[in-house]
Amino acid sequence: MSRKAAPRWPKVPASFVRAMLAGHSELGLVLGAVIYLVCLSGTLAVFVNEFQLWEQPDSPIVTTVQPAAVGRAMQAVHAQVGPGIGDLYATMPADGAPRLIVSVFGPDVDRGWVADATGALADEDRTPWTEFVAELHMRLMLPRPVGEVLVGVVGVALMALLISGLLAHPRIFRDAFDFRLAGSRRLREADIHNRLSVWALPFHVAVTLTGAFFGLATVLVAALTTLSHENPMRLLDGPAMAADAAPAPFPDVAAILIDAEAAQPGGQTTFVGVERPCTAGQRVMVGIDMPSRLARGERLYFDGSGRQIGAGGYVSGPLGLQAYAAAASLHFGTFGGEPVKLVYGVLGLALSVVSAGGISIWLVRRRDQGRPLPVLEKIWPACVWGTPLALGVAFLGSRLLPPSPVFWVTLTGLAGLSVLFRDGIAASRWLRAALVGVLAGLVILELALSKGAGLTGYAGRINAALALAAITIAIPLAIARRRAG
Amino acid sequence: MISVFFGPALAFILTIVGVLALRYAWADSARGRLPVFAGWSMLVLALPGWTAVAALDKAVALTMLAPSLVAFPVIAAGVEYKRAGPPRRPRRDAAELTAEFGRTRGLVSRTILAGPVAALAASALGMAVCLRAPMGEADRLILGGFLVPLAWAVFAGWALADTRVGRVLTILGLVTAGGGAGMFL
Repeated sequence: MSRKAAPRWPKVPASFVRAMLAGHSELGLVLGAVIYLVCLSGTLAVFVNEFQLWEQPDSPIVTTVQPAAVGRAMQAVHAQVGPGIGDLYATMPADGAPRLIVSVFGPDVDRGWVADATGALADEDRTPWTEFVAELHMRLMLPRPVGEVLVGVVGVALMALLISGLLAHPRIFRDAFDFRLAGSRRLREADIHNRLSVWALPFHVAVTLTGAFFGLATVLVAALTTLSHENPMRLLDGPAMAADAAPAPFPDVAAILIDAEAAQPGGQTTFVGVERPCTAGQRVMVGIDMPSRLARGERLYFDGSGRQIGAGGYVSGPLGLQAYAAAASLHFGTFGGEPVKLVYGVLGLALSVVSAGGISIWLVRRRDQGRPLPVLEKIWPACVWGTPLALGVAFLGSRLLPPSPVFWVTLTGLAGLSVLFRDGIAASRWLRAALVGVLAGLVILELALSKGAGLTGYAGRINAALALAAITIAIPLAIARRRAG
Repeated sequence: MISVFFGPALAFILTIVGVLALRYAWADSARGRLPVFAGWSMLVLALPGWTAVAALDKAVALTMLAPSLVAFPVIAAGVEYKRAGPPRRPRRDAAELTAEFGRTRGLVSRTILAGPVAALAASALGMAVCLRAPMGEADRLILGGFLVPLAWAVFAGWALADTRVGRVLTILGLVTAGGGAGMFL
């Protein structure tokens, strides 16, 4: 048995701790559900490339591609959508995302195609559920820019919770390894909440601060533009090139890609974009990943004739630009290949558990104090377990219906149904059992639709992860059922 | 020169030993400060190992991520299964009830302070840095940009915890005025 003596740190006044804890609770209670939604969807969004492969398993898998094939694919898309429609972007196959995708973005168009290794277009890129998860995380399905700003505010609130949670925890070091699984429910929940919060703190701070920054960017840019009469985004946009609608041939993308890779030795091309294609004012930008750096990589810019006109400065430019590029990598977990993505998955799940656990602790504390909130005790598990459940139902229905309404209707319905249960524990058990069923259904459906292809490759990994999640949730349920008799 | 295999391996081993040293130190305060120092030192010394496969910026990120992964299994290994007695009823004395009543009464004002007022103060501070900090344009824009959410979070946490509304309002007002003056002077 360990001995706990008096702390070496100066004693924190109890009134300060109580005040911090009260502020922490109030903020968590007001925004807990939205914070949980952003955290859980963000955890899933780390694997957006893998989910795209899982959702569209029949489209070509391309591990390497020749520059000429990229150029062919981009020209094919340009021919398909017609001139003047929008800018073209080709995303190269990479570790974890073995697919060549060419997209077109414009005021009235946002479409993508999957190409094979020769550059021939195979299928339209149709991954509505994956896009839904990403949109849910970035703007909670609200219109721009309201959604982004709201998510930014959620990030600020989570940052405030991290700070107040730390300050409200004077025994942070002495308790750093305590985990009392068989104590009272409040103690158990508090131990899980505190241990996951403290040990994953660098991750929590990194994703929260960068997320809040990106969410509030629209407002910050607008404010700075008003105050300084200059749009700060010009610093991120690379060398300017005036629009000129006079016709010009499509740029030689293959030659530009070869030049770009030669200009950044050791780099790997991640994307190429052609702005205002087939006009005299067209500009080509190439994204080069530098695997040893935290920043996602450098951007090189070329004119339509293939002449390099500048660089983004993300790797060798001013410290501010490098920090900006590093912030994106830190937020999305793109700086270390699949191992770092897996770590982000684990720690993202930890942050989701922390955000869900805060309200659970408060509910248990109220019950222990003799002031239970029975309806909220039943609705909260519906929010926690109902969110992944509704995401699963949205995927199951995504071949017939858009995922967003299915998700919201399912989540609202589950919250409504949950009040019919005897208590919160019964509601939680039922929801977890339903989640196990939906996860199993997803795996079976994917295996059936992919005609067995979902057993291997990236789709196989997602199916295995889902099966593992189902088993992990099912085992405690089975044990509890057995104990109950 | 540490090889690309041994570098990360060494870093990971140092991280494991560092976390275990902290576990040992914090389990019993009579063990003194040496194991605490040794634990933190090993976590920091993992950094050169990561530099074998990454530049310094990425190595720092990996150094800070690794202890999280190591600590979770260590915590799980030390889980206490001892059955507890019946749940203790959390104490709610008169002082706490009075404080809670006071907090509830000031909830609206503190919410306004933590929301728009704190946001305004943080924005004024961040914008002043964006526009006037003595450094390159890109550097001050990004520094000021990150300062806004960070300062807002600090101000919001404080505004929610402090029941003296007047004090919070005065200080946030001064920060806003100072930031505003910094922007335009």
